Amino acid sequence: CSNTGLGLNQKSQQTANEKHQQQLSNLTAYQAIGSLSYVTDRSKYYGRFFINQISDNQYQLKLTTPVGTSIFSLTVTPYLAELTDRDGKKYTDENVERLMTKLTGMNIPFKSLHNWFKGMSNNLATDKFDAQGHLIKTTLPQDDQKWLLTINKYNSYPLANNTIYLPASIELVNKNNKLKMTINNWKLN
Amino acid sequence: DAKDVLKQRLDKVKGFYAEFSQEVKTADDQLIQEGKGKLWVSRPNYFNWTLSEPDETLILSDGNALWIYTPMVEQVTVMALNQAVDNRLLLLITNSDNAVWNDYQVSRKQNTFTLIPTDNSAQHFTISVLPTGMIADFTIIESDGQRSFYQLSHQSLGKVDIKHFKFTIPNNVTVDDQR
Repeated sequence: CSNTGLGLNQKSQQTANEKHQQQLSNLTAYQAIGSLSYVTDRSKYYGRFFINQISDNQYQLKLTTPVGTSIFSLTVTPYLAELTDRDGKKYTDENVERLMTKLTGMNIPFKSLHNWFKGMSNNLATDKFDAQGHLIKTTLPQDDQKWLLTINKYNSYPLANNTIYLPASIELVNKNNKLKMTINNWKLN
Repeated sequence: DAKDVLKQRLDKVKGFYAEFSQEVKTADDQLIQEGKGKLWVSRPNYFNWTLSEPDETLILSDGNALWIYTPMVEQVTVMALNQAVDNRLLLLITNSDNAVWNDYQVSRKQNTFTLIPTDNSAQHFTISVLPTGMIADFTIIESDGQRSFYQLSHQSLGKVDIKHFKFTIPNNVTVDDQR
């Protein structure tokens, strides 16, 4: 038996991982408020974000300056992504990642945001979990690049007479870009 | 007219300190951001707008340049005071003689003043100023109706130590000098 006293053995670790991932997959509508920084070798962005996840393939992402003025507002539906800039000008593309890279320079995995943002992944080869079964590290492919996802903090929230653990701090790193997100509050309807 | 009344009231107060809570809402009243911080003002032209929650950002005018320090990305942005589009309301609050006043028409209801831009730049403002010159709250309103509301509290009026308006660039930050 394992010598760390309460140490989870292989079986119960597996169940803990699957239990949390199942909880996450049932959570398809939520709102989250926080701040993000995106650093490339040429520039640095900072903003406060509001994410309104309506369903798995539909969400809104609003980014504001610290004083509360708009930087951009992104609406993603299964067929179209639309970005509204701070002057109210609208741009659309059916590929959200192409749209965001072109207009904001933020080349991050927007297509799979609904999964990695809440700590969901099923990449058995690279997923790493903590003792409570929460995802802490994995690799995220996006077109020709690979991101290393790290979730270094979770907070718990009440959800239908149960509790769910959701990320409080996320990092996405690839060779020359780094995204850091701090999530201050999750609102679960 | 309303603009003169607003200016007279603001001119009564040489300087002030206040704490504030911030709420950002969309036109359909959805709360998208909440924040807290402190504000120091010394007229004319000096202000220190320190947002402390959810994380720190410093927006400081030392009288001729505007410094924006964002620790999360270790970056300092500096620009000439009149370039500070995002912080125009503070330019108005801190100097009644600033030419930027000419860009705004002012209307009034009791202690609440509304400033509408004549040069149709996106933002307009509302600000509540008591007859004593004390500011109770202010709101930045964007063309799409998104508004950032600041409720001031714990105000103390009077001279403010100049040290609040000095900025020294911390080491190992990148400086984006837009002057």
